[in-house]
Amino acid sequence: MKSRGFFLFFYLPLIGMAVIFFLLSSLNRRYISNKVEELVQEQLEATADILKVNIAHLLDENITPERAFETYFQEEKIYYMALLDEKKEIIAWSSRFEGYLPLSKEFTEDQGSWIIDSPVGPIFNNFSYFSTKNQGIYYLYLGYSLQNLEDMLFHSRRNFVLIFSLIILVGVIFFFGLFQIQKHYLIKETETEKEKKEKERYMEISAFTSGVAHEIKNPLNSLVLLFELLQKRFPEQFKKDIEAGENEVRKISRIIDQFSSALKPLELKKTLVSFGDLIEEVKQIVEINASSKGTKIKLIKKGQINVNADKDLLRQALVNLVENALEAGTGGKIIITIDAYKKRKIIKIEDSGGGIPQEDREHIFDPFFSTKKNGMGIGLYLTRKIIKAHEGKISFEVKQKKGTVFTIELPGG
Amino acid sequence: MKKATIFIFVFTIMMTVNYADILTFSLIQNVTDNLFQNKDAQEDKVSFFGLYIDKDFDRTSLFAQGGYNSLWENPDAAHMSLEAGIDHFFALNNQTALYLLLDGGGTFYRKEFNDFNHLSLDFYTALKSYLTQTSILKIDSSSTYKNYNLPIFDSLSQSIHLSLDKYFQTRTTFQVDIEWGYKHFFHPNLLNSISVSSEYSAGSMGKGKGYSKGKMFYQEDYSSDKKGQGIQVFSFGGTAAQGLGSRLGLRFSGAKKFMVSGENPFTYIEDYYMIENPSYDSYSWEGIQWEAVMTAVLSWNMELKIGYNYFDRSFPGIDVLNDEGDTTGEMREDIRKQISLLLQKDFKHFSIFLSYTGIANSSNDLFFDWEGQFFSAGIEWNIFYGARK
Amino acid sequence: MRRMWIFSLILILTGAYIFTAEQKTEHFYNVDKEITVEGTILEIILEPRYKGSAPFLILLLEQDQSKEKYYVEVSPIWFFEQDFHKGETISIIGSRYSGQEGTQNIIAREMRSKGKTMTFRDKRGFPNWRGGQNNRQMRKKVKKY
Repeated sequence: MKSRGFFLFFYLPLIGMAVIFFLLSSLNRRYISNKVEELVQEQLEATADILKVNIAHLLDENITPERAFETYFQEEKIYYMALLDEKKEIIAWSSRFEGYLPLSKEFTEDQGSWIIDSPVGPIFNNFSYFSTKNQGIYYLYLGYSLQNLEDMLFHSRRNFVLIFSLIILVGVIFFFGLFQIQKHYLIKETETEKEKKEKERYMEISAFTSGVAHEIKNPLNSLVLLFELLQKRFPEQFKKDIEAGENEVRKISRIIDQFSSALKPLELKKTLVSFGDLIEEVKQIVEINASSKGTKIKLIKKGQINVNADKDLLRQALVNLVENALEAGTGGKIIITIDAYKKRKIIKIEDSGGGIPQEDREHIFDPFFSTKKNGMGIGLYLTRKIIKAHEGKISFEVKQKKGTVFTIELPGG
Repeated sequence: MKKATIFIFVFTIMMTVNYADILTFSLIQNVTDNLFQNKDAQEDKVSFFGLYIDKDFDRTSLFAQGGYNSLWENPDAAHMSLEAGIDHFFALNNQTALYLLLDGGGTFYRKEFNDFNHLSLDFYTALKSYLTQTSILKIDSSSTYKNYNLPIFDSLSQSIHLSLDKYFQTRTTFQVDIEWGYKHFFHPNLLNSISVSSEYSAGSMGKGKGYSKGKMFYQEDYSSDKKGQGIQVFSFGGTAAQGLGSRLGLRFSGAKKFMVSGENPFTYIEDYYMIENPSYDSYSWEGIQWEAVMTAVLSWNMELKIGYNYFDRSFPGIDVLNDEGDTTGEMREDIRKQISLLLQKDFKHFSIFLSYTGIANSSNDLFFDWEGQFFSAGIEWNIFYGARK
Repeated sequence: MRRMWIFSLILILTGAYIFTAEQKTEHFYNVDKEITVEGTILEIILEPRYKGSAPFLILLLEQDQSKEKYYVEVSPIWFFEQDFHKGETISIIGSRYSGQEGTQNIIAREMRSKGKTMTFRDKRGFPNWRGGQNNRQMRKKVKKY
């Protein structure tokens, strides 16, 4: 994206807000966790005491430690349990997880409680001593699931993730929307400025050209009359040359008329036009020129397509494009395709020339821009004017050294 | 289709996030000097953001994941992928284990590339068995159904891979691999709509006829041909792996692949970086490939992998096209040399990696005569999220 | 003998998810008895180790220097990550304990072979296959995530 810096500028407040929320939430969770751990520790020490009393009782009745031990390993929250003798050697143990009994000397030096982290969540551990009536000394090691704490942390984490995700989502949508509006506004402003300048230039040229045309047409009319007079008065052998001269003058007049009409606003006379018939007519008009250049013209019609349009203007636009395509190169072929896609009517004109040079691509629709030696540069300008008057779009794509495809899209129901 | 899939996926995520065990975030940054992997090298950066959750029940796991690839210079090719599935491990007997995976998902591109949008369904099985103490048999099977926006790419593929290895006293493991695959395109010639480009005047990025980067599909004639077409491939190969102590391993492998029947149904195919092009995959070529890989465990338990690959491939059904887009009658053949490096370190809750790949691809179709370099760096952060019972 | 039957009956009746109380008293991961052993695999044994669990992969390992033999308990056999063969050299970090008849046993936590490191338990011995890790690893392998 070109405006990446600009985009990030909008995101900075969002990221800052997310970071602050994240930090505050983490601190809050840590505080709750610590407080609950303290409460749970007290509760579980009480549970351990009860277990010790019960096991001591069974041991006093001469039930073996293994048996005594396993009786109480029913509680789901107990992950593991171990019974140690007075030398702190393990007599019996059980675990819900294969071979998992995280007991080490550093923990068994003194009695106490601690929490260890594990993939199943934090586990509360308690190592404490008890004695039986027979003066037997034992140690009980217990690993207990901190389910309540887990639940609380789980809900806290879930809420955090959901709220965080929501903030990010809303922030992204909001700031992205803001950025798009800003971008859209900037683009519109630039376009409006460009259009305004174009219009002013157009008005200037239009006024100037109308004036010039008017000034030139007067003497041209006089010249035409003069030639007609000369036709009548001169001998036969000169009539051919005089006629040639008259034709040239009339040509100049036509050129001036063409210029004038190019700058006038278009008035559309819309009728139901068949695309298929239209491109057949276009082909007929350009056939001679195409044959002389050895270029084939191929038509591809995807069904019966009709559109409301000014037939003459549209034909003129297409003829301009095809003649442009013929100028692009000799030989090869020109393919004219008509199609419909969703609610749009599409015409494509593709040539097999060398493609439009990169430096010209921005200007080809400009009036009086031409790459041809004898071109006036209003053909494509007129074509785009006609298409825009029909509320359509014209675009082109240059295929790598293989020619150009012009695409016209017209709205259609 | 796209909106319904996204809605179902997001809804499922939100419901299951309550019960998930693991939540993983991934961030990967990729940089390349040749995104579309052709002669007209285009630089780009691809940023990937991924989210993954799963819920485990002993040997069964439910999972879902979503990812977004954002391309800096070619934003039209940005895409989102979503996937969800279930897998399970079985112990068939003392020597044999079986793994099953079923998943479905979709990948969605922006407008200019949305012909590549697709939904897919995969079923995968893997069996591993100790035949003797020095010999392991593995049989993998994979079935994939894909449904694309542009129906010419709709396909169903099935492959079976068998490998048998044997360890020798010289600390060498030899492995023999056999693979058979069949890919059926349901209607590769059916074309009744076109991708229309919007108003722009950028240069061409494709080569004439055939499918070109999801943009203007350029084909002379439309077709309503619904006939299917299949490609059958068969390959065999071998691997020799040598352990040099416990910290160092070397592996050499080679394989030969044949396109037993059928050929590529498209006019030409392209292979992009980080963008899955449905016409280019393991069914589109035949030939030979060699690989040499060294893996090492460095200090702090970092893993290093250095690899060299050589491919000599031809593409039946794909002709070399000239500058005018016309066929020259010659089948496209590529020779590719590739070097790759990967450095990875796993921590308790996250892992990071750095990788580099350098590729030199020479082809008799000059458009696919190219060189490229690809860098990636990524981090994956695991949150043990769920409440456990 | 009678107690064994009663004990088994209790287990069946409770339908516990726990493992057998007949476990060897030392047959657990003890961080105080962690050792590193590098050796050659003499035998691959696939047999149940814990009630209610899948068969386990056990390696009979001979240490290179001292020639001492260890029965190394690795993981359930559906842990697809590793491919071990008789005669291969591996390096193991694990917890050592003495079994019946004085056999030396190791519960493996981490293993290194042919330039790859495989982790089976966390630093305190919690089994990785219990967290769905091998499912994730297998999916990565299959789908090349």
